[in-house]
Amino acid sequence: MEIKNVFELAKAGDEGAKELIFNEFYTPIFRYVRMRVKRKEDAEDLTQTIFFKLFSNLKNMTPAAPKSLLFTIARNTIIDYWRTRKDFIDIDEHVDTLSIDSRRASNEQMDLIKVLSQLSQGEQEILELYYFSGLDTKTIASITNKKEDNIRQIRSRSIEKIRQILKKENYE
Amino acid sequence: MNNEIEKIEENLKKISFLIVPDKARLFSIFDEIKNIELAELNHAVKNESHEISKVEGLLKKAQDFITSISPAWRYTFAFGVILIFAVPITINRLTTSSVYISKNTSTIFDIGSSSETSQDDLKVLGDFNIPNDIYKDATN
Repeated sequence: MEIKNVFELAKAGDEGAKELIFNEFYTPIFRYVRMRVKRKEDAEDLTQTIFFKLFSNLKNMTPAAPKSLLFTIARNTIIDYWRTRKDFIDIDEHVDTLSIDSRRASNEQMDLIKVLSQLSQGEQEILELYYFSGLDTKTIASITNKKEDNIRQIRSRSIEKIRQILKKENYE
Repeated sequence: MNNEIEKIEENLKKISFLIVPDKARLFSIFDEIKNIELAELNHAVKNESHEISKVEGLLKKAQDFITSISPAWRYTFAFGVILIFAVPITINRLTTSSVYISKNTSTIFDIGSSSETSQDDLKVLGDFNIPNDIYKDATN
């Protein structure tokens, strides 16, 4: 069954469809949120809030692009989260390596994570949505209100930036 | 260089598998969402029934008031309501009859009732060669 149809069923109040959406999207949404907030508990709470927002407002929505809809809710929820905390936390330093289970990561991957945090928030977000949440360029463009070409450019420029930093700082 | 980029991309994909939610918590999270949703729904229903009972209370009060007064007062009250609403509407209908005319220009002339239309207004209409029947309507 197409995901669009599952959303339509959920909209009609089908609990099974809601559970299906939850199981399908929980991990990609959690990955996105986890990279955007510092504490795992906050990431879990925010992910829960995102799904609650989706399910409670589904009746008033026309899910033409369900993935975009869900990730847009996620993005706005994260923005609200940081807006309430900006007084005492530097928004540019919220992502750290603790987001990752470092015990399971190879040295190469840990180096990459460190370099990733040197990119701008916009660049990080696009890489995270593409590589961690598995979204395509079109969906990312719709979530971030950018053009598809722009997303492609940012992604390839960011990868090139990572390559140069890795080379410059002699990461192995 | 391409190899390096491919390697970076491959590693980024692998990193995503390191960011995993607590699977054991998944069911309880979904249940919590359902419970919150249910609580919100109950709250909304409660609010709605509260609003309905408020309106019902007001209607009951109005009904009690109407039944408590004598028939003569009841008719006077009804007549008063008719006067309040119907008379201004009727007066408005009788006194205003507007004709909107636009001729080779974006200007719109709003001609009021015959009593309000001055001779100057009619002269202006005449200058624009208004068809006779419209001119007649405006002057009648």
